[in-house]
Amino acid sequence: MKILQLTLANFRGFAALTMKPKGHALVFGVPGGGRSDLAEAISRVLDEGTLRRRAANEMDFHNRNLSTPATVELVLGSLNEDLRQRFIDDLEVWSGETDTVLAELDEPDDIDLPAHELVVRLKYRANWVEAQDLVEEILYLPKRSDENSGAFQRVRRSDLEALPFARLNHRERVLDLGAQGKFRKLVELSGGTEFPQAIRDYMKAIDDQAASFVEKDQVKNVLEEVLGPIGELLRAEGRAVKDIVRMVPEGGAIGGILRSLTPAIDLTDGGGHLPIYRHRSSLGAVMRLAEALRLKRANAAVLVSDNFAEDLGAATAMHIAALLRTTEGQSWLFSREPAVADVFEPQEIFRLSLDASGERVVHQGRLPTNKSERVAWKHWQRNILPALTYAAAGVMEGPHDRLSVNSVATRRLMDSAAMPPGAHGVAVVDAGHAGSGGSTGVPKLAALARAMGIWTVGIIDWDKADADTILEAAVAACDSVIRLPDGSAIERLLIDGVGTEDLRLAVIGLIDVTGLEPPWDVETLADDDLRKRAVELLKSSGGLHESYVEALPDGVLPPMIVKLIDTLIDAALNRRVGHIQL
Amino acid sequence: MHLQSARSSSRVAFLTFSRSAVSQIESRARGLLAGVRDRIEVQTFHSLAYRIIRGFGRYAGAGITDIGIQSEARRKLLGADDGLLTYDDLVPIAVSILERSTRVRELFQSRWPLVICDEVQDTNEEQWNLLQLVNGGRMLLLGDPNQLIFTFVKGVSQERFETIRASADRVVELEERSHRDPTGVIPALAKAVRVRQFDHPAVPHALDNGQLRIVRYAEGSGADELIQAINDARAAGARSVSVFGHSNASVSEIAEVLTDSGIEHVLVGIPEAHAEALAAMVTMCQRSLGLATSEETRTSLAIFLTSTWRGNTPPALAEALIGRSALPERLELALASLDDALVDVADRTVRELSQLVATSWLNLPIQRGRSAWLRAGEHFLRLTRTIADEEISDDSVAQLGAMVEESRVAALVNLDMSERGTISLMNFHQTKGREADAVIHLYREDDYFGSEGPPYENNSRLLNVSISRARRTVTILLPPRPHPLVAPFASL
Repeated sequence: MKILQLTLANFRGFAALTMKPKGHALVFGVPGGGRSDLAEAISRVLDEGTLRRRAANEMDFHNRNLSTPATVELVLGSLNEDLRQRFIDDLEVWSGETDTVLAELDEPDDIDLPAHELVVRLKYRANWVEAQDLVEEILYLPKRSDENSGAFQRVRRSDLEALPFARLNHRERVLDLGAQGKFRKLVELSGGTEFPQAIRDYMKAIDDQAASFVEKDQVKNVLEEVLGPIGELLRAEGRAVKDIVRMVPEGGAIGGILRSLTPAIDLTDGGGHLPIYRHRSSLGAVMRLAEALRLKRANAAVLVSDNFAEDLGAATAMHIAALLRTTEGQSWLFSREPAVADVFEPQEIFRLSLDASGERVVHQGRLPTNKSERVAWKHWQRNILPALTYAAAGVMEGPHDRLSVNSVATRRLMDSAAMPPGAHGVAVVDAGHAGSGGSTGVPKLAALARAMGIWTVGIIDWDKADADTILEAAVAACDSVIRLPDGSAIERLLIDGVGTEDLRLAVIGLIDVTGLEPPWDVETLADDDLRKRAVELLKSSGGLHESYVEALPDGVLPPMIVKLIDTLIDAALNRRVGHIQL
Repeated sequence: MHLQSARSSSRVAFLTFSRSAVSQIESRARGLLAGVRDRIEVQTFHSLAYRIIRGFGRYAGAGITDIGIQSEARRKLLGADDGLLTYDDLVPIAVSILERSTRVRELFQSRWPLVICDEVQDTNEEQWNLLQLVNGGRMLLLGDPNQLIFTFVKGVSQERFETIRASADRVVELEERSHRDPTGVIPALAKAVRVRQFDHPAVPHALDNGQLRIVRYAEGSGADELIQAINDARAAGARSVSVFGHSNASVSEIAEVLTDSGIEHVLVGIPEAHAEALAAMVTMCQRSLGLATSEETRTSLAIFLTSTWRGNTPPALAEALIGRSALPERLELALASLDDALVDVADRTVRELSQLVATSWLNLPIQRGRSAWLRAGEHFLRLTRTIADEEISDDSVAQLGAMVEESRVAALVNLDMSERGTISLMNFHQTKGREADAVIHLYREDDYFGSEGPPYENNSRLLNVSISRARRTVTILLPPRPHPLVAPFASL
């Protein structure tokens, strides 16, 4: 089963939202972008427990607007035979060409077109009932319902339970035999009669054991003493104590007893069998995912993971994500770990952000359709992915630009605790990885970043003949463009405004660190020459920008880079549109 | 059992001719089907067709709004409406959808690896096609050439049945045993009548033990004797009585006689009356809010009245209700005061409005249709219960309309609802799947049995079927000069 379309209206943080995943969905987002609301929205429709729990309250309405219902609609495709039969009266035709549910067709033959698929729509609706001060929740089939007149065709519980769906969060128990446990579900799905028999045997054994307590003299005697005075009340006359009192575990409820079973794992590290929480925290996370993976394989389920990779290393997270992606069904991974994106196609990646008016919006990656886009795709992987969880990105020409800015920002943080761009939600990325890099790379990368809803600040040099054309292209592609001063590239910026003697010390430090033997004497260079030589030096050995920043004396930072950082943060936070001259 | 081991997505379709047959099958098979009941889908040909159209008609150019079904009464009174389907359109449209979309056809075929068809001898070409198209594997056809009674429907014939029979992989002849009358007396009687052996021992045997009664009336319409027979049957403990008249006209007259005598009864095969009563109730609710005019209210009442009538033309009163002629003054006054009451109730709750409309017909000086209206009224109140406490508003009336529309269409498609009374009145062709403790046949001198001459093969089968509906007793009311078809009864 797959969600082909998800539509929210007035639900929690979303005024309105439509998502049409192609395959799987890996969802990143800025803080407050709505990842957990989205995971919850899916659960409201697919989790059979939702209506039983009556999950909704007035906070589920966007901006507490109680006058309009909060709704979540899912279009479900890739239905297995059981689901198609269960929902036979509610099937509709989905067009893979227009990515919409078709309201009607003229010729029944067209139902069979290859681009068409039979799907079912399910809709959750929370409605505020003023008179009773409560939220009324229903789950219905829109095809046979009339929302205007309030005639709803409700989803039958047994049909809802048949929808293959699992949601996992990091609080969930693993290898849980309780009624709601995924492990239990897997065991039941596998068929067979041994498990039910094992439950009965276990219950009997535990029952007998518990009952035997009152047969032990030590216990029995005390019981007799305790109960003696109220014997009449208990109609105790002529009855043995064990017939009157019995010990039962967990109040005798099978559910409680099975829930109380927890797995203990021996990792042969000398600790013996230990409960999972006593092992390193990633063990539980990995096992939880392994369980979910098995469940997804078993019934091609839609799997929602609220905080995917939270407790995992990047490598493990990628591995598991790749496994999830290659199993049938559909994964919805809500994550903050950009590395995971490496194993997804761009069109499977979503980013939640806030628009200028503070409303939540969603952006979806696009499959490259031509050669130039495929080149850009390389940028995407290296540069855009890390920026997905940021609100804005400064796009620089090459890696030296990025490293210069980042190292100055870090030095500044250490010296004066000034927040670096990242702490303001501004990532610094560069266009250098595509090979071309430079001033033509910036617009390309910026276009990709903007397509994902990232506020994009292009940062370009002013050291070429066709500076105006370059600026124009950058302004067209970026939200804001900061152009370095006339005649400048990043090296000039690192040096401008740094005092002669501070610069000399830094150059000496660089020569020390690198072991270079320049044909000039740093000690005797005049200011002008010193600056010229410093620029040459910075560009040598594949770039010494970072080392230079390190080599600057304590308390000294390149003032123009500091200015650039502040301008970048200002442009991002205050959404300054167009050309800004540094 | 086969189903328990089969794939969880597969089901069995049980197709039959009437809704009453559906409920008979359901109630009889209850114990047998414990655990798999929800996987046996018992439905009429028309409800299956409607289901297919409702599901996929929008992909066959039928539009996205729910398919409206036009009742015969509406057509009779106001003329055909091209925008609406009639009952007879349903099966052909469903067949066309299944023929043209492989996906839809396969959907139903994989749903039903086994299709059971009851009374297959009476299927026509279209129904037979539908049966073939939804069948995904095996078919179990239940038929009895001796119960072939729809010979007047195009394509239904003895020959067809023989062809169907010849195409079967296996034919099982069931032994003659009736679940209705386990003593076998009535089945034996029915069989003797079918082959016109009135001197067969089964006939005097039935007479002797009181299960067959022959009553000859001297003059008039036999009305008094009919009422007497009904009362006798009820006094003898019959909980259900089926009265068969030969033609629609005679059934209509019988209905009037019973109405005049205060004997509550329902006309079988007029589910339209139920549907149209519901529709009229909704119109009245709309009238209450000014969403419908008083003329529209009258039209809906006229359609209801027409639906209780079996003639080919609408009753005069219905014509008058839509302004084609003058209304009797008493009726005019009663309608005006109903209109006032509807407008007055507008600031109250849905409950008060519902109660007013559910009984409104009884306050009009029209005798016909009272029991149908009352029954529909109960149904209407049941449907509106969930919103009974709401104030009357555009919203609540719209909601009510949507709730009722569903039931209205179901009534039209399923041919049921109105048939749950103790005394039911029908013609001989409406016997499918029905049974009653007591069966009464009323014959008239002017009964027309078609051009068939001796030995009356087709008509004798009709007699066979209608007699065999009885669980306990059969009463035959004969005029002074009965038609040769039934004349042999007179000499018993």
